[in-house]
Amino acid sequence: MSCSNPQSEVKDPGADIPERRTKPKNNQCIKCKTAAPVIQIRHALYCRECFVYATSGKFLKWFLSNFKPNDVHPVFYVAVSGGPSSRYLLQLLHTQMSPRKGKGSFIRPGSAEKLVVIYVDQSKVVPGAENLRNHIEDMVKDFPSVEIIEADVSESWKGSQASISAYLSGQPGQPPSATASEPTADLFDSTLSTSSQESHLALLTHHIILREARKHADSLLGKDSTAPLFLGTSATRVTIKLLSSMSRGRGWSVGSGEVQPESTQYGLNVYQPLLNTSSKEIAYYNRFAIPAHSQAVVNRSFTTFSPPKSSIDRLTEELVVSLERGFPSTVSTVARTGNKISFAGETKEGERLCTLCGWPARAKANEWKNGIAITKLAGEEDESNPLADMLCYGCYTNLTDSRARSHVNYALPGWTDEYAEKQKVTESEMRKEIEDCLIDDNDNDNE
Amino acid sequence: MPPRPCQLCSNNRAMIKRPKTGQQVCKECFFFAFEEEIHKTISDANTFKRGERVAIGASGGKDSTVLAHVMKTLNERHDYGLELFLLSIDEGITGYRDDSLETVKRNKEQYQLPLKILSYNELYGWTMDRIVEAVGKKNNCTFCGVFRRQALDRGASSLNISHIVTGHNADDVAETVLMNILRGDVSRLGRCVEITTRGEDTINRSKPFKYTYEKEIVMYAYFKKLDYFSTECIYSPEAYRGFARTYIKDLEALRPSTIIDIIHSAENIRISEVVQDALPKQQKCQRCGYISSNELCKACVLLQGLEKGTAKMAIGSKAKHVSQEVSSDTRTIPMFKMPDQQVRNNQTNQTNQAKQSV
Repeated sequence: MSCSNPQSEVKDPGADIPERRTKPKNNQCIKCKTAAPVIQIRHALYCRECFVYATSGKFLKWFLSNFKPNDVHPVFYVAVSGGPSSRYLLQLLHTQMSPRKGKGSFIRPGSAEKLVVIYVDQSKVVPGAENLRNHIEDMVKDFPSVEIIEADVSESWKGSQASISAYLSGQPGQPPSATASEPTADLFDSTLSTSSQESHLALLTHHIILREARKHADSLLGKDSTAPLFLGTSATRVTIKLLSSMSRGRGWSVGSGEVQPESTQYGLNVYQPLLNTSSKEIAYYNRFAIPAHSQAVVNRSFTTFSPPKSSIDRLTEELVVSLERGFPSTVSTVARTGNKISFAGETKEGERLCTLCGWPARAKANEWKNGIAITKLAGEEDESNPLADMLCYGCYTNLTDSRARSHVNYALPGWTDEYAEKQKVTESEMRKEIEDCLIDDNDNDNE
Repeated sequence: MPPRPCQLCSNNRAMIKRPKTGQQVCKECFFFAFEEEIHKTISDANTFKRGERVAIGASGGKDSTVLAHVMKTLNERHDYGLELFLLSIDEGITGYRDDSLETVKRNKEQYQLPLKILSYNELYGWTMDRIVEAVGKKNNCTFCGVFRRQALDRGASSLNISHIVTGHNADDVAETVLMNILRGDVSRLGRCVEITTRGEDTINRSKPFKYTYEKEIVMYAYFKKLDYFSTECIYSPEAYRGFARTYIKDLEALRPSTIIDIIHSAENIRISEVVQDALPKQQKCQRCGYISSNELCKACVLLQGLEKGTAKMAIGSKAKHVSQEVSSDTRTIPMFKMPDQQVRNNQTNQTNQAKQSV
């Protein structure tokens, strides 16, 4: 039945829609009940002091539920882009690590002897973006025992032997035709659509953070050590990520409910303490509690100053912000949903992982899509597609986006070779798997 | 510029750029691919049994008109052996449904299929026009959706039909996935992408257009010159859904594969076991016998609200506070009876299971 409301036949359509924004009845702070409020968070009003106290308290509560009291770690790694969320995270981690004054019985949750800030510079690939190293140094100059690691996105291609064009042409071993630094420009200037570019940049940045943290932990703590890595993903950002990932065919890869497979490959414990804090709370906390000289800096992205319809992420951001304006529970609802879902495929040992993003992947990335559409007439044979064999559905769709102008000469990041090598099943492993069924001439059948 | 050849047959001139695949194809190849993809969806999911009586939910709109045409075509071409019916619900919306039902009546003649029309007035004693008078335009979709779902099942049951096919297309499914995420409804997130929803106490529902783009349905109707009614409901849907719908359309403009990609995401999602355990168990409504997750089904709660003049209390979380007591003179929904065929199937299944367990 076609009604303009397609949901109507599968679900009570009006139910459970997040509550509309309402104007609170009392014009008083919800905590102290005396001061005049300055900010409304969802349906509650706060004065400045109570808001800062409540926000810090929320972080402390999270910390206490994830770290043992008085447990001191050798190092905390924290990914910092220089933006509001990572600035907020830095501030709260700093507060956490600072020695407390007085003899109060206040419990001190886990802390670290050293804070290592990992900054990934995107200025070489994003037009108009700046290197924010100096700004980040300003942010942490009052912090005790801080080290900054700066990495460049273009480092992803170090040692790369695999290019998309080579995979598409069926010669995956062929090195990229350009020099090591050129494929960067090729990818971000002319190769992929804006939606693919931004998704790919986020993926590369995330992996560089993990790799840099691992490299540092290896030298400081030794191989096979584990260390906590903090990411400043806010509830608003995770909502945008969940919706845009759904639109990219990989909507399960956002939740924090399960350990993310790509982080386990690097032996790191990844924490996202801001998953229940909205970007509005972060912005106001920064404004109220952080000195002006060390405020966050907003760097340019691919879609800064672009209209909403310029990319999937930008469009999703516009949707979330518009909804949040009228229905303030949207972000917290979606962020919680992300924690309840995971990938439905194989999760046992030996599963196939995407060589680009490191998430579980089904056998052939293009098989599902080919199965639901007729693109050839009967009798025509399917061409082999090595790229589809090594990537997951989301990465494959992203790198072969039909809006892409071309996808030649783009070098896959260096770690794809590493991942692919790890996943190769050796002849001895294959034999081990089937050895029960093999007949050995020396075996005595009568046994 | 010389005419481009069809990318499928390479013979005819390409006339259509398919949004689903991006291929440029001729009209004949488009018809072939469109119909055979739907056949593949149906056959891969083992949707029908030979000899089954199947009702096509018909509103007179493009989706249900194309569905009726394609179902009849495929039933004959691939010899499904189905007995097809048209089933329409008259919600009682003056200037909208009465006009669209005229289209359904013409479809009945064109496709030579029996037609059953069941009205809200007949079943619930209320038309949508009266409901809107009582509750306003803001929440009327809640009433319409809940009532229509039951009405379709009751209409099918009265024809002894155990399977309904609806014209929900890929765009609708993607929109539903998105809406379920936005309202945190994880239980329905997994279920909403199933091609067929089956249950012992419910009539089977299938969506043969699950992987079919809305644009392609319009193209098919246009080139086949099908007769359909194209006006939107006069009681427009709520603003919240409007955000989701616009978002899906904008996404499609950015990357046409997005609609299918959303469905792929939802098909590959697993819901945490803790959440699954906390979900309410299905039971029968104590008043009308229809499947429900509470003692009273949603339709009974809504109808009771309308009858008592407290309709707004029956919507959303406030419904918990609605008294379940009902006076003898209040109108209630007749008892729901499963079609005999479905009852027989269920009994056969249970017997088979018992034999297997023995």
